[in-house]
Parts: sequence; C-alpha cells; structure tokens
Amino acid sequence: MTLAQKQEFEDLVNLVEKASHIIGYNWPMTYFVHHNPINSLENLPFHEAILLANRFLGSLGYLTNEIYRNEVNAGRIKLSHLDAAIKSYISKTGIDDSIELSGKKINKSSVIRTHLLIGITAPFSQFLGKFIDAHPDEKAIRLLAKKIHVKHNKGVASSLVYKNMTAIEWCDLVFDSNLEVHINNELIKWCEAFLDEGHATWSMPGREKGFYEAWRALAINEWSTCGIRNSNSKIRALSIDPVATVLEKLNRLCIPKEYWQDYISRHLASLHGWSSFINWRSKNSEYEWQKVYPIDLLQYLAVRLFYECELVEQICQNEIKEEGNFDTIVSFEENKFKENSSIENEKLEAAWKLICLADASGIGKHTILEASPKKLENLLLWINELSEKEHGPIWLDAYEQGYINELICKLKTSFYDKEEKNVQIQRPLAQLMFCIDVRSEPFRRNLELMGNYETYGFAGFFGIPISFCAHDTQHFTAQCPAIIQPKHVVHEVIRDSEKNKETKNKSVKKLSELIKDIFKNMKNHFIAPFVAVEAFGWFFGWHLIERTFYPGIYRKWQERLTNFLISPVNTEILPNLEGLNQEFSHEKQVSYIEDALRTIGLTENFARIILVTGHTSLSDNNPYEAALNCGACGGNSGEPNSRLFTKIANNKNVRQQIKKNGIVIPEDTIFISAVHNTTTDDIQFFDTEDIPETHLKELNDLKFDLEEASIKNRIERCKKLPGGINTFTAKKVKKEVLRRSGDWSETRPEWGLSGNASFIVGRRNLTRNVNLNGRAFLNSYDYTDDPKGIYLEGILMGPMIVGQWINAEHYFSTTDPEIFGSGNKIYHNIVGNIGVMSGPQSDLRVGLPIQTTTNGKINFHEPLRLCVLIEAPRKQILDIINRNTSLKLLCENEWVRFFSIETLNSIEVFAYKPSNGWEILKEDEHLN
Amino acid sequence: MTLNQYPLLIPLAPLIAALITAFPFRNKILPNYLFSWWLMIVSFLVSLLQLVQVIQEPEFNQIVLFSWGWSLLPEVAMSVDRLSSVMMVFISGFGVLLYRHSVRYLQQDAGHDRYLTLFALCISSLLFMVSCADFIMLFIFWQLLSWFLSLLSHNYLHGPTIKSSFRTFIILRAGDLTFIAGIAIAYHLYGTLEFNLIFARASIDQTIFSIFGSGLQITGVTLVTILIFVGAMSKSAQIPLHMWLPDSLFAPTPIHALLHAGLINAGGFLLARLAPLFSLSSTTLHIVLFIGLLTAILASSMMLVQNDIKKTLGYSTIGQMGYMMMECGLGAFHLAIFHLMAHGLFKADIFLNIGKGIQNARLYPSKPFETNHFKFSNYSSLISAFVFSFLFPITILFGSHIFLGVHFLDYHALIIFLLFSWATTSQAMLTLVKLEKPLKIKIGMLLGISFVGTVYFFAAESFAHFLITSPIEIQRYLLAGALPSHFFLLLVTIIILSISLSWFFSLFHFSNILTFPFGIWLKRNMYLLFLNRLYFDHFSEQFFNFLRMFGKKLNKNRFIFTIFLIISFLFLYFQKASFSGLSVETGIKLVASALCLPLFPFHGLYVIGITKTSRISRLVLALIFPIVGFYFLDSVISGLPEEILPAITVFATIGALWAIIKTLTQVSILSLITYGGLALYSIFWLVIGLNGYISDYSIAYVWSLTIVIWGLVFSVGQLIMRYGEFKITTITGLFKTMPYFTLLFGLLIMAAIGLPPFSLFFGYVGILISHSIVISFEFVGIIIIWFMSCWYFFKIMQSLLFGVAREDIYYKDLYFLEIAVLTVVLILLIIPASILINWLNLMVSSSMLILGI
Repeated sequence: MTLAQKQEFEDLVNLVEKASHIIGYNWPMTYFVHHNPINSLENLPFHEAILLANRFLGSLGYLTNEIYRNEVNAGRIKLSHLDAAIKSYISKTGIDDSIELSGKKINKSSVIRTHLLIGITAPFSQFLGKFIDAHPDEKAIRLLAKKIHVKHNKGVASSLVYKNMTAIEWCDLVFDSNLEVHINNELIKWCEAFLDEGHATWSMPGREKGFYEAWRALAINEWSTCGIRNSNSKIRALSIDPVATVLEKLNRLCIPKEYWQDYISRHLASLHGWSSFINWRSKNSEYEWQKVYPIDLLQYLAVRLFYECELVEQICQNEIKEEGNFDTIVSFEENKFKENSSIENEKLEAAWKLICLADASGIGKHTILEASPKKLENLLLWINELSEKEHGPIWLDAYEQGYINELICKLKTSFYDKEEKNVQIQRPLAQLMFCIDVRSEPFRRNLELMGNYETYGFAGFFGIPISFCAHDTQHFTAQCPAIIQPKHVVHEVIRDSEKNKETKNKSVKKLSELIKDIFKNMKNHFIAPFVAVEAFGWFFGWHLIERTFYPGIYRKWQERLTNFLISPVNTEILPNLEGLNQEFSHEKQVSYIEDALRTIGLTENFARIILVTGHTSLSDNNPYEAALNCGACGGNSGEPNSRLFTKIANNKNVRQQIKKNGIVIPEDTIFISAVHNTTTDDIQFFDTEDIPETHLKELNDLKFDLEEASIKNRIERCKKLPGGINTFTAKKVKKEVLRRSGDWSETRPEWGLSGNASFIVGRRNLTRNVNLNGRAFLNSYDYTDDPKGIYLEGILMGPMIVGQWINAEHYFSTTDPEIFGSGNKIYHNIVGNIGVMSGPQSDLRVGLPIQTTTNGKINFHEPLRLCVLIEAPRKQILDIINRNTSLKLLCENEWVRFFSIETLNSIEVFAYKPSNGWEILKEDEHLN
Repeated sequence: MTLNQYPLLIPLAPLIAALITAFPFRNKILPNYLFSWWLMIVSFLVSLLQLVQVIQEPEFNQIVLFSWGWSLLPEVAMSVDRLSSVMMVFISGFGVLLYRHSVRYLQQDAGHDRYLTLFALCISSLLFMVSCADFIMLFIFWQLLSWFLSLLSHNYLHGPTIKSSFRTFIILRAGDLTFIAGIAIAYHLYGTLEFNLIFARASIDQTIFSIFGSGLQITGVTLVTILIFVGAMSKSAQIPLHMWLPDSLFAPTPIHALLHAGLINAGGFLLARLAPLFSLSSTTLHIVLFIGLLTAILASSMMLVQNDIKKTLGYSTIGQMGYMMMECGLGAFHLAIFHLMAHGLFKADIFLNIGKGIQNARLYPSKPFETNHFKFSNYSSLISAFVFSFLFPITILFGSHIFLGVHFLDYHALIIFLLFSWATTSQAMLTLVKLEKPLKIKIGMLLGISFVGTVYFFAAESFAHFLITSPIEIQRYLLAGALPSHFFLLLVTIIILSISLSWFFSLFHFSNILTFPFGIWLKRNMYLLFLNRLYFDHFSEQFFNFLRMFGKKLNKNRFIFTIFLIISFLFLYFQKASFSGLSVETGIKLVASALCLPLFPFHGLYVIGITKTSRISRLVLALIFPIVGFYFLDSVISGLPEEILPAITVFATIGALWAIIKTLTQVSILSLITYGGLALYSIFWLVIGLNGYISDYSIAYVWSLTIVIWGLVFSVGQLIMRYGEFKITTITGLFKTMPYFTLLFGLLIMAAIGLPPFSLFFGYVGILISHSIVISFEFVGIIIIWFMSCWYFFKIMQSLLFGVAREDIYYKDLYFLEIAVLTVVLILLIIPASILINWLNLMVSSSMLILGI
C-alpha cells in the first residue's frame, strides 16, 4: 500500500466518523439508556441541529402546528407568550415592518401571528385548481391571481442531487422502483443475523471474521442476491478490505469528494436504528459480543454501497441504457429542469394564501383586492419567509414560556408564605434521601405532609459507581449512569446465619434450570417440537387463563411457589476492596459519603433515622421495563447502591473519619436502606436485621407514614393514568397499581419519567409545599456549604447531564414518535435480544414508544427543553459554565435553558441568554 | 325460533358484540367494552352447555335453522356434533380470553374500535364456520375469514405492510377459489351440498375424470378433495402457500395469538370435518401427508435461523400446522384436532408473553460461543450416551404403548407418530447427556418420560374416542391413510435416519463436526437456504416482475388490439363457429347488446362512455348501458343460432384477457374500474356462450355486477369531484382522513370481489354450480377471471385507502347525501339473489307489457 493510499484510507475513516454524527448511538435495550438521539449534534445550536436532522433523517423536531394550535385553544399557550415569542423571532431576523392598506396599518408581527394561528398554505399544486373551484371566494382568488407578480423559481441547481438524495432514492423517484426498500430489507436481514445475541438456535456462520467478511462468505453462495445479476462473481471481485470497497464504490458512483460526507450520512440515516447500534458497538470494543464478532460502520457501508452500485447500474441500464452513476443522474436532471412548472399555478397559490390571510386576520377581501401589487408582494414575502414547516421554534418558545412562568409563579407564591412562618430548628422525625428522578417529587411532597420529615434529592446511585453481582447470579450489572464507568466491584453474599439453606436452594435452582434447558432443546429442533407441543401444550392453557384474568393472584402464587421451592435468604452487601480500576479503600468510602452529604447540604441536625431510598419498578411483559427503572443505576434497581451506601455510612470508622473532616453525625443516627417501587409506590426495606432495637419504634412510625404517603401518591398517579379506575379509595388504588404492575396486557404500567421539564438544584425550602406535578428533577444542594462551587459543578456535569439526556429522549420521542421514538408498542417484535423492531422486519427502533408519551389522543409529555433552575450565585454558575466546554455548548446552543434563582428576601429569577449572560425575568412577564 | 335452537346464540353473541363496538353510540351507553365482553362470555357459556348436551344425547346432531326456496340449499342447518361442539368451546373460550387482553392492550389506541369489531367478527365467523352443516355456509364463512384476516393482520397506515397485506389476501383468495371449484364439482357429482348426504353419496359414487383429455385419470372424490385441500392449505399456511403468514406479522400482538391459535387451524378443522369424504381417497391423503411433512420439516428448519421472536414463532406455527396436516394425511383426523388445540394454547401463551424477552435478556444475558456439547472422553461414555438418549426413549415409548394396549403395529399412522415421539424424548434425554448429569437424574428423567408419555398417549386416545364414538370409524380413517408398504418403509427409514442424524449432530454439535471443506460449504448453503426462506419470496417477486414487464410491453404495442382480434378469429375458425345463420336484425341487436354490455371487440363504447364523459352522464351510462344491453340480448337470445355461441365464448375469453392486460398498466382509477367491469361482464357472456340461454343466476350476476360497478363509479366520481382527475398512486391514506368513504368503499370492494353477503357472490356460485359442464376450460376460465378481479379490486382499495395521507390536500369526507346513495347501493346488493330474480322477472315482464312487446 502506498503512502497516498494509506492517507486516503485514513481520510475515509475520519469522514465516516464525522458522517456518523447524524445518527448518534443506540444502546442495547437490555439496559435502556435515555439519551439525546441527536447527541452528536449538540455542538450546533438547537434549532439548526433539528434542521440538519430533518434534512438527513426526515425527522420532526417540534410538534405539529396543529397540536400547538390546539394548545392555544386549550389555553396552555397564552397569546401573550406567543406574541413575545414572535417579537423575539423578529428581533433576531430583522425589524417589525409595516405597510398601510386602506388606512389600516398592518405589521409583520400580526401577519406572522395569523400565519401561526391558522396556517396559510396552498394545497398541493396538482389539486389546487379543484380546491379553488370549491372555494367560496373562487372569483376573488382568480382575480387576485392576475394582479400578483411572482418571481419564477428556477429549478434547484442539479449539483444538489448529491446532497439531497442517494442514487437509490433518485432511481426510486424517477423510475418508480422500490430499490431502497429492497436494499434496506437485505441489510436488515444481514444485520439481524450478525448482531443476534443468542436468540437464533442456528446462528450466522463465520461471524468471528467480522461483518463484512461473514457477509461476503455467505453472499458469494447466495442465489441471486437481491435480484442482482451475476451477484456471485461481483461479490467475489470485491476487495477484502471494506475501506477499499467503500472507496471504490464512491468513486464508481462519481460523487465529488466534497459531498462524500453528506452522502455517507444519508446512507447511514436510511436505517438509523441499526447503524447507530453498530456505531455504539464499534465504539465499545470491550463489549463482549463486539470482541468476538466485530462490526463497524465501514463494514456496514461497504455492504450497503455494493448493493446500491449494482442495483442502480442495473436499473439505469434497463431504463435509460446508461451507466448508473451521478454523471448520468446530473445530466438527466439538467434536461428535466428545462421543462418545469407553470407560473400560473404559483400565482394562484399566492392568491390563495392572501385570501386566507385576509379572511383570518380581519383585513378583509376588498382591502386585499384593492391593494397595490407592491404591497401584496410585501405581504407575500412575510408569509413565505416563514413557511409552515418553520413555525416550530416560535411555538416552542411560547410553549416553554408558559411552563417557566407557571413554575416560577408557584415558587414565588410558596416562598412568600414561608417567610411568614416561624421556622424552628427542631430535630426532624427522619431524613430521607431520594433519587432526583421526577417520580420522587410527588412522593416526597406527600410524605412531608405527614409530619416533620426532611427529604433530599440525590442521584439514585448515591455517588458510588459500582459493578454489582447478586448472590444468585454470576453476571455483573453496571450500577451507574451510562456516562461513567463503574469503578468498584460489589458482591451480594448470604449472611452467615443462613448458609445452611444454600445447598438446598442450589439444587432446586439447578433442577429448574435443567428443566428449562430441556424444554428449550425440545423447542429448538426441527422434528422434536411437534410431539412436545402436543404433549405439553395443554398446560399452557392454565397459565394463559390465569395471567389474563387474575394477574395479581398469579403473581402471588408464583411468588409463594418460588419461596416454597427456594427459601428466601438474608443477604448483605460487601464491597470488594480490590475494585475495578480504583481501590475501594477506606478513604474512598469516606469521601463518597462525605461528598454526598455535603452536596445535598445535610451537614448538621441529623435525625435518628436517615432513609436512603433508591427506586425500582415492576412491570410485566414490557420490553421497556429498564426505562422505568433507575436511570442513574444503568436501568437497574437502585437497591444495591442504597444498601452499599448505608453499609458504609453506618460503619464506625467511616463516621469517625467524617467527624474529623467536620461533619458530626450523632451516635444515634442510623442509615437504613430502602427502595421505592415507582409502579406500586411500595417502600421495601433492606438489611433490617442490622437496625438496632432502639430505633424500631421510630422505624415503625416511619413505615406507617410512608404507607400513608404511598396511598396519597397512588391516588395522585392513578388519576393521571388513562383507562384505570374511577373511584379512588386506598384499597382500590392499591389493587389498581398491583394490577398494572402484573398485567401482561398493560402497555402503560406507569407514566415513568414522562412529563419531565425542569431540573431544580437548590434547597428543599425553595420547593417545599409546591406541587410540581412530578415534572421536576429535584437535586438538593446548599450553596452556602459550597463556596467554591465544586459540588455544584459535580451536579451540573453529572446528574444534570443525565437529566438532559432523559429530557431529550422524551422530547424527541414525542415530537417524532416514528423516527426518534419507537412508534407503537403493540407492534413490537424483539430481535436478537438487543432491541425491538416493528413487525417482522423494520429498522431497529430507538427511543420511547408512544404509550410512554401520549395517552392516545393528546401528549401526556409536553416536549420542552430542560429548564435548569439553580439556587446559587450567578457568578459561580457562570464560572462553572465557562470552565466546562460541554456545558457551555449545551447552554450556548440552547439545548437546555439555565435559570439562576436568588433567594435573599424574595425570589429573583435570572435567565441565561446565550452570549448575553444573565437577564432578569421581569415581573409582568411571569405573573400574567 | 324455538328453544332448541339456542346454540345459534353461540356465534350470534360475538356478532352482536361486533356491531356494538362498530357504532359510535357505545361511548355514551356502554362504556369500556364491558358489554361486548359479557357477550363473549355468554357465547362461551352456551357452547359449554351445548357440549354437555351433545355428550348426553348422542343422536342430537343437527338443528335446522330455517328452510328457504333456494334450490342449491333447501335448508340451513347447524351441526352440533361433538367435533363442532368441542371446537366451539375452544374458539369461544379464546374469544373471551383474547378480547379481555386486547381491550387493555390496545387501550387509547386510535384503531381500538375497528380492531375489536373485526376481532369479534372473526370469532363469530369462526364459530359459524365450525358449526356449519353444508358446503355453502362453510364457504361463506371460510372466505369471510380470509377477508377479515387480510384486514385485521395489517396496519393500514404503515407503508411496508401494504404489500404483505395484499399477499395475504391473494394467497388466501387463491385457496378460496380452488375450494369453491371443489364444491362446484362436488355438487355436480353428488347433487347436494349437505355434508351428510355428500358423505353418503360419495361412498357409492364411482365417477372417473380424465383431465382435459389427457391420459391422466382421477376419481371424482379425489379431485374434489384435492381442490378442497388447496383451500385448507392456504388457510393453514402449507408450503408453498405459507408465504402470507410471516408477512402478516405486522399486526398488534394479540392478533397473532388469535391467528396462530384460532384462524390458522381452520384447515385442520376442515379436513377433520370432511374426514368421511377424505377417507374415501387415499391418493388425496397421501398428498396431504406429503405436503404436511414437507411443511413441518422445512418450516421448523426455517424457524431455527430466525433472529427475532415473531418470525421464530411464525415459522414454528407453520411447522406445527404441517404436522397437523400430516396427522390428517395419515388418517388421524382426531389427533389433528387434539394437536391444534394443544398448539393453540401453547402458541397463544407464548405470543402474548413476548414482551418479556428483553427482561429475560437483561436478567440472564447470554454469552457468545456459549454452547454446551458432549465432550468425548472414551467410547464407554459414547455408548452410555447412545443408550440413554437413543435406545431407552424408544424402548420406553414402546412399553407405554403396550401398557395401554394400543395396537400400534396395525396402523402406519401410529408407528410414524411413535417415531416422532421418539425424536422428542431422545432430544430431551440428550440435554441430560450433554450437561453430564448423574445417573440418578437420567433415570428419574426416563421415569418421567414414561409417565408423561403414557398420560399423553392415553389422553390422545381418549380424545379420539370422545370425538369419534365408533372405533370402527377411527380404524377406517387410519386404514385409509395407510401407505403402500414400500412407501411406508421408505418413509420410516427416512424418519429413523433423520432422527439418528439429528441425534448425532446435536450430540457433537453441528458446527464442530462439519469442519472439512464440503461440510463448511453445506453449512453455509443450508443456512442461506433457510435464511432466504427457501427463496420463495424471491421466486414470486421475479415472477410478478416479469408479468408486469410483459403486460407493459404488450400494452405499448400499437398492434396489440389487431393481434387480439386475429387471435380470436383464428379461434373462431378452429371452433367452427359461423355467423351464417344470423339474420341482419338479430345481428344488429346482438352487436348493440355487445356494445352496451361490453363484449370484446365492441367494448370501446362502454369504456369511452364511462371514462371520457362528464360526471352525470357517466353515472347514467353506467346504469343504462347494461340495462339496454341486457334488453337487446334478452330479445334475441332465443333466436340465436347454435353455431354463433362458440363465437361469443371466444370473444368473452379474449375480452377478459384483454381487460386483465389493460388493468395491469392503467393508472387512472376510472379506467381501472371500467376494465375491471369489462372482465367481469365477460363472465356473463362466457356463460351465455356456453348455455345459449339466460339463466336466473346470470341475471342475478349481471344485475349485482351493474350495481357494484355503478357504486364504484359513483364513489370514485365523488373523489374526482373533490380532487380532480388523479392517478391511482397520487391519493393515498383515505382510511385515516375519510372514514365514512373508507367504510362504504371497502364494503363495495367486498361486494365487487364476490364476497358474501353481497349478491354478486351468489351470482358467481350459481353460475359455477349450475353450469352443465363442470370440468371445462370455461369453468377454469371463470375461476381465473374471478381471481384476477379480486386481485385488482383489492389493489384499487389498497392504493386508495391504505398508506399515509398526504399533508398538502384538504380532505373532505362524504356528505350525508353521498353516504345515503352508497348505502342504498349496498342495500340493493345485499338483497338475496332469489328475491332479486323474482323481482327482476316481474320487472322484465311488466316492462315488456308497457313497451307493448
């Protein structure tokens, strides 16, 4: 290989890397990671990124105008906010012009407002004539059309063909063929086979050589691949290096080098679910399946481009007897544009729009008909400046203002109330640490109503990134957010007193595994399953009936049976001192606890009980169950982290060290671990045998109050869940949540994180007694304890980022449920143990299903960008933002919106404006 | 209705449930689908009651529902024997279960009402189907199920499924029409359509056909059963008619439970229902056995390479259906019912539970290269493995047969089932050997197998005796399925060989043995073969591409019309048709009627009249033309000379061919409908040419055809009024934007493709059945034209209604008046053919009176 060639190869690899930004990463669904589907575009401003994604993926980044208009009618978007949003749009793009028509002054903003509220678009040109015929003002439109001058749009420059479509898309358009579907199906077939993680009994042979080689070895033998003639010899002629193949094919298609990146992006975007999963795998070379069966985007592209080249060649030869490359396409396009559309139609379109405007804005038809062509042109210019597809940003702005104003109003009102109260410092009944998750907020609020409880919000892995192994399994789960790697290994072990049960349990488990294996082997065979089904099929009937009609009873019986066969054992959590890449030393343990306490501002006035509450969920038959679990624990239950935290925090040596560092935890304070089940609102306690008897009374009181809070919270949640019950008594809601958690026909066991909109960093006093509707992440933080802003930086770089990922996932899954979301759950089909497809063959679905974001008719989740409210000095926040480029990118590009709250005598809120710094939110703006 | 007709409640209750969900008042009066669910429960309880009654009163087996004057079928009855009662309990039980599941699963979904309506209709049709006592009713519900299935198992809004929905419909339709051909021949042979009479008459009938003059001889009953079996093949997804099933997987998950546990069993049920007929033809049974065995083995091999859960289950179902058919082919019809019920429960449970897959993968992740296989240490371990997992299982199974006193050696079927059981048990034991479990467990397992095996054989045996009370009949079926001894030996050898081979490969693991070059080659190619679904899809795609290209090329050719004319005259010459006996007046009248009731080569006027004129005149012409044509024809038909009839037949055939080629390439929706009409009117002419007189059924046919075409022209005209002339592909997705139009147009299309309850269906059936020469080219021709019309009318419906709606059009649904007009059209189409004929006769005679003729 020559040096130049080497350079060329390297360039291509870099190019693919850049091109892959449009698709981002897609994690395996087994640990659902909420993330921004266009994560890699975060270095662009928000609206630009959406435009770019739209260009390649065809995705929508805003709700449809119709939905926003409905929100106006419902009063959710106030006209004053809309006007403010229009004003800020106009101030960004120019000045608010105005013209005079029959003595009336009409300004641009009012035209735009009308445009937003009713949508001025002419119907599709082919049908325009018919629609005008049916229009009540037919004559007026035709009359007006004669008056208007429109500039004739010349055909788009043909060079843009490279940017706007791939060769197959072009062929599909021009020759009415179905090539893209064909190629996609072919690639899905191979991706499915290669990326399978243990589903198929008979898996693809030769996978260890990598995707491209494995494909080549098989496809050479395939009978007429994808309808390509002589495919065998053509595949044999391919280079063994995928990079060389990609290069050769790009050259063969005659694409100028400067368009390569776009071209590759377009190809990756065509099946963005699969390609983004491949992208993720290629970046995680430690992933055990990737280690054994390597795949990367270049291999994928090589296969894809091979199909493209050959099929395009074939169809071009058939249809126009020319070579299938872009030279042909460009010359074909140039010839076509000479015979382009009529100017008459455009005039009619313009007239249609103007009459629409006249009707809706109260200008009046006559005024329009009498106006001079120049003025009409002006009006048209304003309308056309902002076509209906570009309304999104303005709507979003207005939509967000509504939420922010309401939120700040709430905070202010409750804050005034508090000032009047006489705050006594009193030892609380208990202090409880919850995850920042939005589902903790209503629970905390309901618990605080029960008595003098203090609650804190802290990321649900409690700051300790661990890899955890339960006592009855051999594999490890990463119990930390996806943005960090686990640092320590933690085992769950059976307590010494219970060791005797172990042997019996083990043998039962072995036997049950054996039975499972036998059934699996009988099923996965080509003649064995027939008689097996005939002999055993009947037993499934019982299962079927019970699970459908009595899911609750079924679960109870199943649990009883399991407990009977495998006696439950008491376990404890033991940190391994070795750790993964960091020693889990005594000092490290101390620092984890101390950092946690200092971050949330719990440094004095400790209660006798501190409950460390992780969270988990319970749902049946739900591929998205990991999305309901604790995101901070990598889509797992928060139980191990909470147990580990209490284990360390109750350690005497640790306490002593912490005391030396300045936090005095009283002797009688104990940490207890628990888990909040967000589907049923039950609180489960762990390691209760470690609790001294002296605390049992308080613990019982606490349990009682927790149960009361659970009931209240269940009622609050059940009222929001569609299709549930109508009467809300304690017993009924309990039954209902149990049913939801165990019913295999339930597609919405709970709302999960849906509805999230803000991230509030501050003391609980700020939000106490405020009903935030389960829409806020609450991270406790006391700026008075953190003069240097170290902990704040930790919060903003850790939990806040996770919150933003969650928010973005929900945002985009709502705005485009088909491309960024995973569509409708009822069609889902689990593929290769890695994810879901819709139906028998489709792109690998990314994001959340519509059942998570809508209740069928309206969106339950309002797609808003995350509003981060921080109670801290503005300068400090600014310093942190400036220190961290990633953070700076996020807020400068408006992916999140920052607000600073100042609480000296009353609440003052400052909004962060990109490149302008802090700007105070005026009274009238948020009190209307 | 008397009290002992209460079993009618079983299928009627779901029908009422369907109607309730279909209408929007439900929201106010009957919330939450609870009432419909209760109706399902009623259906289930009544079917239980009926089962109990059937067991207690063995002679109680038919309930006459009503008698009517239709000559084909003097009375409609419901069969309530054990088979249908068991099936009804099974189906209505599933109805209750899956209805409950679906109500939750699709909660808040936009298509919830439509889904539940179709769902209840399916259950109702299934219940009707299993309780029929005659072929006509059976066929009515049989094809309704095809229609519901193709609607229910696809998502109309989803582009990629449109094609597969089409494929589902067309494959099922192919089966349906072969089925009706079988029925027509059966009627021709036995003169009745009632099962009991047919069974009795068929056993003494000795008719032998020689097919189209070739040397091939075939008995009447074999021909009938083969044609009916093709119908069963399409419903039960037997290779090569299986392709629709994996395609239909784009549907809400509970539908799959219904489909894989209920609908797909229809084929097995049909064979069991017609067991007395099928058992008369060993040839058919051998074909059934062959197809079933082929399907079972190929489909379950395809299952092994699937990477996603739905396709895995889909192919598994096909395989199981193959096994069910195989059982039928061996004469063990009762066992097929046993199998389909067990499989139904099993598959429904797995399908409803597929969402669990990801959780399982999270809790029990699998690792690459994790296969346990036998570690060969010394020969004694090999021998022990052989003994435990190969020899002992078969010995035990033998033992339990002997224990139960089954005379399995007397029947081929039982020996083959024994071998299949052996494969299963050997596979189960193999797991223990591979995991190197201690002797204690192995022996325990063997005991377990002997227990389970005995219980299973006992259950199957008792079930058989429960279904078919006379042991002699069971014996008779089993003996009918017996193979010629050399074939039987061959089959047994093949099965034993493949069991041994599969045992060997499972023991040492497939991949580890085939490491030599040929082995690798074999492995790859077999994998590819199954991964590409045996290249079936590829074949069909190539074939249709070729057809489309061919049609386009033909259409482009300027001389094509001339060529067709020449061909038809050549045919006329060979058929020795002559126009000599034709008087000028009759000739003119005949041509006039051919111009109006379109007949090639005079169809031009009709085509232009409908496609090229204004809206009003189009509507008038679509109605007037056929009536005028019919009037002229009626006035000359009695005076037509014999020699001209072949000419009419030839022109009609060529005309249908011409219309089919034309429709392949049309883009304007109006011309599509017009050419469709041309093809269908050709059937009428074909029958005239054969009979030489206008039968009542042809009148019914032409009448309903005229109404259907008028309705289609009207509804498309309303679209054109809204959007202007458009290509068939321009406007899509009316389903979402124009719901009323969709419903009415869908029903019209249903009528156009000849589905009951619309009268065109009765016209078709009447024509086919009353036809004097059943096995002729014309008979085949009518079936093919019918099939092709289904083809493109369904296509028209799909391209208009399905798919994504355009954003740049303002859609306006039908106004009240338009809805009313179409409703009247549909009502006219539902009026039973017999009433229609009487009324028409009246009309004709009175109009003649008025005109003074």
